[in-house]
Amino acid sequence: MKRALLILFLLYSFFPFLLFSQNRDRVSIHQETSVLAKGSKSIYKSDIYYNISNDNLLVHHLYPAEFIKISNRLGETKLYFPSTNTVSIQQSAALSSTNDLLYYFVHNRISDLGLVKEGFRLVSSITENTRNITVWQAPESLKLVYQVRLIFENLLPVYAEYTDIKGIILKKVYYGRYTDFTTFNLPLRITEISYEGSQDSVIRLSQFSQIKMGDFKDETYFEFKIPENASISK
Amino acid sequence: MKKVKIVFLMLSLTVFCSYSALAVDYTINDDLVDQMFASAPETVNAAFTGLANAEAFASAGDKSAAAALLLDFFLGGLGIHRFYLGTEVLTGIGYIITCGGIFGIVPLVDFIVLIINIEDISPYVNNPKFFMWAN
Repeated sequence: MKRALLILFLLYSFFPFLLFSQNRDRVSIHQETSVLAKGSKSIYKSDIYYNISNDNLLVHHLYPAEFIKISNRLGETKLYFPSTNTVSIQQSAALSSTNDLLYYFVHNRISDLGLVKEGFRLVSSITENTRNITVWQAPESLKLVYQVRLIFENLLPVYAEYTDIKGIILKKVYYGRYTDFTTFNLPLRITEISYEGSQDSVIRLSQFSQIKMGDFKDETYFEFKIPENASISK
Repeated sequence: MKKVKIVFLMLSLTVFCSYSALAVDYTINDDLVDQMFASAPETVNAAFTGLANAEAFASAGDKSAAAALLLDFFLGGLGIHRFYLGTEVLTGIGYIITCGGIFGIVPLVDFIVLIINIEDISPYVNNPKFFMWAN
């Protein structure tokens, strides 16, 4: 009886630990992006494998062409084409995995979505009930984009608007279908409308699904190694 | 007929967005967007499938500003226009990694720069910089 009580006590004590002890550093997401322009659409599919602890990112592009991109926070990036067994290697801060949209969401750095890093300056912030509106001024070097307006609902970005110096809207981005993954929230649907031409617009829809966190039975892509016999291209 | 339907849906979306702006509602009608995509025919972009031969893009002959604009217009966020104009393979790939070149700002600026300089795009041909318009 004592032993049974002891086991029950231990289970009760360690229950929260057992429940939350799974490795939540690894995330895999399926992404499907569709681009609609001039009356026709093109579709792009990929699987994303992200290691939150070290920001190592692997994107396995599946359609319409297969290739694998591996990058880290230092900007060391490899691009591998399985069909030709070739690899391209480059290092640049611009290629850092910390420039990826996913980085900002999984690390809850969503207050500016990376605009500060790009030299944008906060010029105003207004709060109305559950909504917060921030306006960011572009650095002079960007020239053509003058301001970005970010709208937050319950502290989550739901809308971004890019305007030029005349106040003409260049682009609208809608972040929707937020899902709570305990440690971060992710919009499962991002719709971008670019008013690049005077007559037409381009709509880009990114949808995320099959989101998995924790321990993976198949760690192939988290531990992916480019074959040693791959030839290096420029 | 399909194109007419898409144009109608796009017009509806524009009206909806304008209405939304007036109503201070920052949401989009997902059903309308889905309808637009559902009714549009699919095209597989040859430029994207040519990624595996990115060097072939760089070594191509004369570059057409119109073709570069078209690629940027369709796929700016994917950096394909940079492959066409000739750049380091991973400069173009940077666009994909950054989800459209820092949230779509870079391809948008590229597009406007190409339109402004349509008479002479030589400074942007075989340009290895991520920001092709940077000094």
